[in-house]
Amino acid sequence: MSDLQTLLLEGPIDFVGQQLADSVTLYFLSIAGVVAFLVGIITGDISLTSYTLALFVSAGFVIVVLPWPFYKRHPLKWLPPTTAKN
Amino acid sequence: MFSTFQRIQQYWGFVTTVTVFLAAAISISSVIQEHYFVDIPRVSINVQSIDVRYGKPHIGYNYKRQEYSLMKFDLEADLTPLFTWNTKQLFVYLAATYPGKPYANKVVVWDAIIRSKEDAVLSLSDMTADYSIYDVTGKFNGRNATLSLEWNAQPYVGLLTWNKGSERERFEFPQPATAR
Amino acid sequence: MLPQLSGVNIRQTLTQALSFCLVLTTTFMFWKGLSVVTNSPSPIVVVLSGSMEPAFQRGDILFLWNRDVRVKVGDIVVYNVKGRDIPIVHRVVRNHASSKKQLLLTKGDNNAMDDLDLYAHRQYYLDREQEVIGSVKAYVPWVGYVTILLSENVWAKYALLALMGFFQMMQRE
Repeated sequence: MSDLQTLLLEGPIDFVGQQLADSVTLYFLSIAGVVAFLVGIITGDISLTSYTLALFVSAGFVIVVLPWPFYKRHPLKWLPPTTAKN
Repeated sequence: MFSTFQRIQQYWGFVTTVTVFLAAAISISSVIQEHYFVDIPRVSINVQSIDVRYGKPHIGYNYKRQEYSLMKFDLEADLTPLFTWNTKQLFVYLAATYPGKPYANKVVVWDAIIRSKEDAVLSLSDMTADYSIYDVTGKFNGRNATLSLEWNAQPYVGLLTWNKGSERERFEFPQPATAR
Repeated sequence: MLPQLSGVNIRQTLTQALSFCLVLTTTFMFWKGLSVVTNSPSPIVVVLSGSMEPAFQRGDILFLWNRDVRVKVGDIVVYNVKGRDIPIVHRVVRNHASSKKQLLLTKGDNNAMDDLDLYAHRQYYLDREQEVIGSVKAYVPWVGYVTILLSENVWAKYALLALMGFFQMMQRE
């Protein structure tokens, strides 16, 4: 598989990056829900709620799912290989 | 969250959760608004004329020959306060309630669908009822009846609500014009 | 990628099959539990026709409640005509109630005529206890459209199976 395919299909990110992605999902989408609700109740127009939510969800998808470089800043340090002693 | 695929799964899972909570919040807020912050609209109903005939209430093999009634009425109502941000439509109907042995009876004589606040002021005069009333027993026997305006608010999402106006207009079924 | 017929892989396959069965049975339990709570054989229905527009569109989902002893005029009910298996979602426009039973006449908002032609021959009213399986209390738009696509489009079923197979393969990796 080429590097681009690996990047897009498997998109591995390090463990700190995974935690970050998880937090972003939680906070970003929760805020999206609250904002969408407030937009609707203040303007009195429920279609604005769905548009706001759709906007946030799409933006969040791009931020969370794609393997951005800021998810890979703490790569796992593998120990140097040792030869078996015997 | 290691692979792109896993992140997609996790992300969509949480999107679903947020959507469910949002739908619940919208529904609860609009039901609270309808219940506690909206006064029951003032309604005025007047029966202009009512007569009872003998025959088939509608064309069709399914309808028996029996006494049926037709009425004309006036209706004034301002239903604008019932529209919340979560109101998709108001199904409004005028219903006649009358007693009987053994059945207590209620029949819709007219209905309308209101889809926006702008259309929510009703001002009808000398309106012919959409539907005629006919009884299970086939006869009215000059019974008394009351007419009331009721509505069902249909939300964009969540719980449906029903309510009614305070006015009750009373009338009496006259004897049939052409008895058999 | 092809599964080897060793002991470990048979156990893995069986474990996956077991988890799958667990998901199915849990869903089934949830559905039946909901049926008991609401007293309706089908507590959640998908709108299939346009006869209640503009309130309901095809693909909307309705939540039913069947513990109201008496249904009211203006309520929206789901009923099965005696002998037929197609549930119909329409509004109650007439009601004759005695202490023993309740007779109803229904009509779709979007229909010009009431449902008399839909009832059995020589039947003029629905019986609340025997034919009504619930009244609509809550509503969610569009979500059920997937089930309509699946039941009406042959290719949609194959597409879904292919998609599920694809996900299974991704999991193994």
